[in-house]
Order: sequence, then C-alpha cells, then structure tokens
Amino acid sequence: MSKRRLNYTGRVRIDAQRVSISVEKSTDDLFDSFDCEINLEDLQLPSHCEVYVDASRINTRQRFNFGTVGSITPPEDRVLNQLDRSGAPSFEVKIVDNDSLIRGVSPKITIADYDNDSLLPLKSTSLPSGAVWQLSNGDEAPVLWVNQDSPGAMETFRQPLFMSLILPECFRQVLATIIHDRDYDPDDGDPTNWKHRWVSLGKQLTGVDLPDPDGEDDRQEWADGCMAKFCTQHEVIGLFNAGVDVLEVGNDHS
Amino acid sequence: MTIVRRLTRSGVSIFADFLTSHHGEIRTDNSPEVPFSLLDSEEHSESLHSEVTVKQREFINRFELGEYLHSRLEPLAAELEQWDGLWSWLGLYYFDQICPVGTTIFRDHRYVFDADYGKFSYTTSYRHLLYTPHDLVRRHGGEVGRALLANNVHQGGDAAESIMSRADVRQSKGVLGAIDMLYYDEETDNVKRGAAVRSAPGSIDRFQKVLRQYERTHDVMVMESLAIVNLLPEEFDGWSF
Repeated sequence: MSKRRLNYTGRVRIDAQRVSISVEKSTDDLFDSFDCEINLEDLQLPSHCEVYVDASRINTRQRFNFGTVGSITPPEDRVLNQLDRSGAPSFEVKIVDNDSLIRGVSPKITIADYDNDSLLPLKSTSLPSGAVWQLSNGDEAPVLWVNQDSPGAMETFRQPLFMSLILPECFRQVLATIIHDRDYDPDDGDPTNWKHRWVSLGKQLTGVDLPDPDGEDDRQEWADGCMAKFCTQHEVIGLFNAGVDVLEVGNDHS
Repeated sequence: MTIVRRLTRSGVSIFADFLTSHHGEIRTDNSPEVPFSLLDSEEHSESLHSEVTVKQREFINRFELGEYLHSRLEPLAAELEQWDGLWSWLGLYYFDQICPVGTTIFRDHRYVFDADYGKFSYTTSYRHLLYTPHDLVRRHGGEVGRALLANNVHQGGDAAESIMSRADVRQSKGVLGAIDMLYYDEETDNVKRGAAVRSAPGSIDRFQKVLRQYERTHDVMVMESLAIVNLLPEEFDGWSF
C-alpha cells in the first residue's frame, strides 16, 4: 500500500523532469557556471510570482533570479561563485509570491556526472549483498556505490550527516589498501595510477610523504595522521551536528 | 599606526605551525613567543598594492572590531578577497586581542585565514575571529549583526557561530535583523540574558530550528526582519521589542 501524503502547504510540486540543468565545470581554478531551462506550463502558478533557482552545496547557497512565471528570463550571470567548491552543487527551483510564500518548489536536483573525475565518485548500482552502500576498493580506483534499490539514497548520501558518517570510513579503507600494498611505488611516474592522487592528498594534508613499505608502523601512523587531518579539515563533527539539527527540525515538523 | 601587509605563504605556514604546536594551551605571560616578527619580515610578509593602516586599540566587542576593520580596509576593495595572506597577517597583528593572556589558543583557523593561498571555504572561513565581523559589517553596512557580534573579540560564541555557519544566513539582512530585534539589548550593548541558553524557549538555538521550518513554506532569506519576527510562534513573544 502506498504511503498517503498530505500537503497542507498548498505548494505546487515542480517535477525534476520540468527542470533541465547543466553545469559547465571550470577547466582552471575559476568557478563553475550553469544553464537551466524550466517548464512551468499547466501548473496553474500565478504569472506574477518570482522564479528563483537556488544552487547549494553543504551550508552554502546562491540564488539566481529567473524572472517571473509569466516571463522566465535566465540572468546573464550564472557563475557559482558563492558556493563551497568541494563537490557537486544541487539546484532547487522556487516560485515565490509577493508575500514571500513559496507557491511551488522542485526537489533538489543534482548533476549525475559531476563527480566523475572526483577522488571518490558516488554511483548507483545493484548491490546483491543488500547493503545500502559499499566501497569498491581494489585494483581499480575506489568508487562509493549506493544501492539502486534505495530510492533517494544518492541525494541522501550528499547530506552532511551521511557525509560525516561515511566519508571518513571510506578514506580510512582506501588508505589501508594503499599502505598495505608493498608493491606500490609513489614515484613510478604512471599518471593513470589512482593511488597517486590519494597519496598526494595525504601528503597535502599532513605535509609528509608516504613512508617506505618496510616502515609498517610509520605507514600506519601516516594514515592515522591523514585521517585526523581529513576529519578536522572537513569539520566532520560540525557536519554531523548540523545534520542532526536538520533531523531534529524534521522531527519537530512531523 | 601600522601599515597593513600580508603574510607570504611561508609566513602563513610559520604562524600556523606555531598555533598547531600550542593548540589547547592556555596562554600565559611565560608562553612561547608569538612570531610577531613575521609582521614586518621582508622574507615572510609583503606590502599590499594599496596602503592602509591599522592600530592597536581596545574593542568593546566583535561588532566594533568589524566596524573598525571595515573603515580601515575599505580602500583595499578587491584585494580583500584575494586570499593571499592579508587576514592571516591581521590575525597575527591582533593576536594579543583575539587570544589574550589567560585564554586558550584555539584551532589555527581562528587566527590564520584558511583560505589564504588556497580555496575559500564557506564552511570554515567564517570561524576566523577577524574576517567574519568585518564581513558582516561590510556586507550589511553595519545595520545588522549586533546580536551575533556582541561577544568579546576573542570569542566566537557557540550560539552565534552555529547560526553564522550558514552562508545564506550571513547573507540575509532580514534574518540578521530579526535576530537583532529579538536578542540584542541596546541598553547593555549585549545579547539579552538567556538568549544563548540552548534549552530556553525562544532562544537563539530555537530560532535557528524554527527558521528551518519556515524555510519550507516561506522565502525566509529575502524577507524583511519584522515580517520574520511576526511569523514566529508565541515562545518568541517575550524576546522581541
């Protein structure tokens, strides 16, 4: 039996299919920009209402005014220069009336292929184990797989609470693979070796090169140091607390 | 008056190393010497493109500090956002005020600006004890932010920082103004007593949670302060006006 949902707010739901978003990633160190097409036909929204596209990433948000329902006009400046830049942004379309009441809203829309060149891409697949998530961490570059049977999990995993719980563990597992690989040579000059990027991150975090394979304790200490720096630099406790706050608000609201 | 400079990459690194090695210690008269020599070192600091000056003086609270920095640094314009050692230099210059003797040396990003020579992080940069007061005053012309910046200059304040961790709140004049209307006591130039107590009805913490609820139905971040206050439930009645 499907779950019955009540909508007391009177807001119109704008399906994700009505919003087409593409992000142009910066090739240098500048900011990404985006294009967005919105189809509000037949939704019975008042034509005078403002149309906004809110881009967000963790606790940062940037708003773009797309005109009104009756005359959707993308702004010329669509550069995402107010967002945290550590990963994929998500987008939400809002229709706002003169009295600041939200008349329509889309779900948060993420860009599916944004993280393809990230250190730890998040991808959806079937997981026979029945687990909600799994880290593939072998010869190939690691991927954080999310069970496709869990609808909404991809978006959920980008929320602060889940990031704070899962990413440190993934980081620990990947580093464990690297420090126990005695054959791995950080100086082999192979640009396709995925381990180089992780070791480079570790060095960036700690300022220390990966110790030689014979120094097992040194390597473990190095990995521990990387973990500690990773957690402090990414404010893992803060992310967790922020996520719990959101949950509490959700519970208060329900 | 002192001409403002910026720390070089090596200067930032030396200052950060000092802070990391003494993190958690209570600063005393006998504490290891703070590397103030970096401030005018030819090797570890550099001139800015524009010449501006600051001086050592007492600040009643973070708001006054923000006003002062805004007034002094305004000529720098775009150079303020190049993240190349200016805020770390200021953190060192005012270190005796933002980490006075008798207080704990906090994490390095309180004093060293973590965006210097790297990417600006909206999730941690606001914790810098000088950057945020200046940013709020500059962004809103000093019209709002008095309640959140009412602390001593060496204290971020848990309740205030919890709210300011949200970049959209820092950008919203209406929300910051509503916080002032509710929690700022003009007579004492401070936060009203009890506002920071998490469990208190209508506290700053409750405001933050209720705000999230209203964000589901209202475009809160662009609303006027009074309109936001008028939306709030009864538990906030005792705080306003």
